[in-house]
Amino acid sequence: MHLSELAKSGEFIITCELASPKGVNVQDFLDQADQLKSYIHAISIGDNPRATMRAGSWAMCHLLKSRDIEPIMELATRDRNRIALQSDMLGAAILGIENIILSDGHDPSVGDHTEATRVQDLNCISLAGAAKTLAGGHDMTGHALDGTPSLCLGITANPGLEPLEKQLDTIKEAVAQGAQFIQTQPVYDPAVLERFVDSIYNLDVTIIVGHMMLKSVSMASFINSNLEGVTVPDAMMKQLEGQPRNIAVETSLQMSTNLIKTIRPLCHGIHFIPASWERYVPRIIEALTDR
Amino acid sequence: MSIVELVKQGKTVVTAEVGPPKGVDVKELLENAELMRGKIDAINVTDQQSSVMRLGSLPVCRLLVEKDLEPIFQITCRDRNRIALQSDLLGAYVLGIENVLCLTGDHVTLGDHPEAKPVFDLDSVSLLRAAKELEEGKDLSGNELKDTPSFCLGAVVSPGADPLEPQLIKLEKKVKAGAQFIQTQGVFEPEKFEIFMKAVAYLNVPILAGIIPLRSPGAARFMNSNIAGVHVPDSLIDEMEKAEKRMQKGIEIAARLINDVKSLCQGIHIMAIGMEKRVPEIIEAAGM
Repeated sequence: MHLSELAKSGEFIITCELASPKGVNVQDFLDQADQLKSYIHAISIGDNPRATMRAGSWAMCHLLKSRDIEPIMELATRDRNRIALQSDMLGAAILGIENIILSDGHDPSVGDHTEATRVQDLNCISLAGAAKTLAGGHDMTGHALDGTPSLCLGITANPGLEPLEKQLDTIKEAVAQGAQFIQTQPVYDPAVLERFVDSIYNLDVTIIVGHMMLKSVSMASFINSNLEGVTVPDAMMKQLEGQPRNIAVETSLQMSTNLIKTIRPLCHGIHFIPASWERYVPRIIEALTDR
Repeated sequence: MSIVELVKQGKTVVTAEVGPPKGVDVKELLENAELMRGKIDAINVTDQQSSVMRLGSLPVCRLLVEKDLEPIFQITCRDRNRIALQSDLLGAYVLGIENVLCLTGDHVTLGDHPEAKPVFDLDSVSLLRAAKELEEGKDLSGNELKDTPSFCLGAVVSPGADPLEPQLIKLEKKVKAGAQFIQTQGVFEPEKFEIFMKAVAYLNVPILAGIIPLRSPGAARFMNSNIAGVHVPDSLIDEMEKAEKRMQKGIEIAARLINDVKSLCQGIHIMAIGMEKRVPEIIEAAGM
């Protein structure tokens, strides 16, 4: 199912990210997916996230699809040229993968194959353009296709990253090329999200806001110093300070629930980035639904 | 069953090639694959052959696995860097794909996206090595894997190349890097092929002879001037010229070549580009 159609039906979308294994043991992955299945609308799989080599996103997405879980496949321009990128979008379509997030991907220098060639034949805007062309029945060089894929394309954004104007230009171009949803980095300050949403209010695009539970003060500090554009407000830091581990979990889940309830009217959905707290995602979703 | 296991059973392995469509309509491809069921041992799925953008080998191989047909996944180095190549190999294994044919790939200028960036971060030899490393539990940077894949790795060679020596050197490298079976470019001269087989006997690797059914004298001449390592002798071109039913003649010649070479090697690989539907007929004509 296209995420954008789900949003139009008035459903508040809930998605969760799962990590593809580095290797071929998919048991943990499938267990996590099965536990999340009844709580979420879709599971997204990164494309060798942070330039770290893992089993292919398309393969995990196909496994999810065969278990009746809607997948979202990330496709990064870092590792493939335009032949492979277009081909992989066609391949996704025949494997039942409809939602694709286009990204440029991290530079190989931050990953585990620092010598890998950064391909970057296209960027996420030109890739969105290529996807639009495919959906219209032609490839990038104008050759007619034998069977046209049905895709719902998304892009990523970071609402707290300055200058916002530069990102807005990218978003506008990508939406003009056919991007239908935006998946954002985590946002902990509702005011930051409000400013972002206001700045794109005239675009017909589904906004799914990233959320990463704060496991501890040290994790929050790490986010503040390492995740560009993402800020955990002082008030949240204070709530987590000095708490023993078991109470910190409860506090954290409560904070997540409160934050999501606050930002819910501003967006069309939430995207959980569990950072190994997959097991707590259902609890937050349950807390969101009993109002 | 993997190509190597099939060879171990002592039979002449028969594989044939299918080319994915340029688009998502796989009906005809699956029909062609269905026609081959029970008649051949594995179906080799090309990957963006001649650098023309198409549906990839990998998703089609998965469809074949779901239909209980044995695929051979072609992977090339032209379009993907080492992150994507290794990632695709792991994904392939997860989805039940075992036979992998590792190719360097044609240059992009040959295809329909001449402006595409040629990647070539790895080549066929380093790709074979990477796949072998994955089987040993590590990626190319030495990071440990969680459970390891197991592949049946293949590579290609052109026995008709002139000079042959560079092909032999490269083949040895490929076998040392991990190639467990070899698929050849189209063979039209059994005598030359025999010389080639003698030259590579020391490598002790199963070899599948490539058979390309000729469609017309023009197609033969086209291959002679455009496809490296393929040489159709004048005698065969003459035979095609004189034939009343050319397609039939092409099938007859293919069957004859199969019978001339099959005792020299471990298998046959039929590349019936654009005439996949005739593969069963070729096999029948060869009496296999």
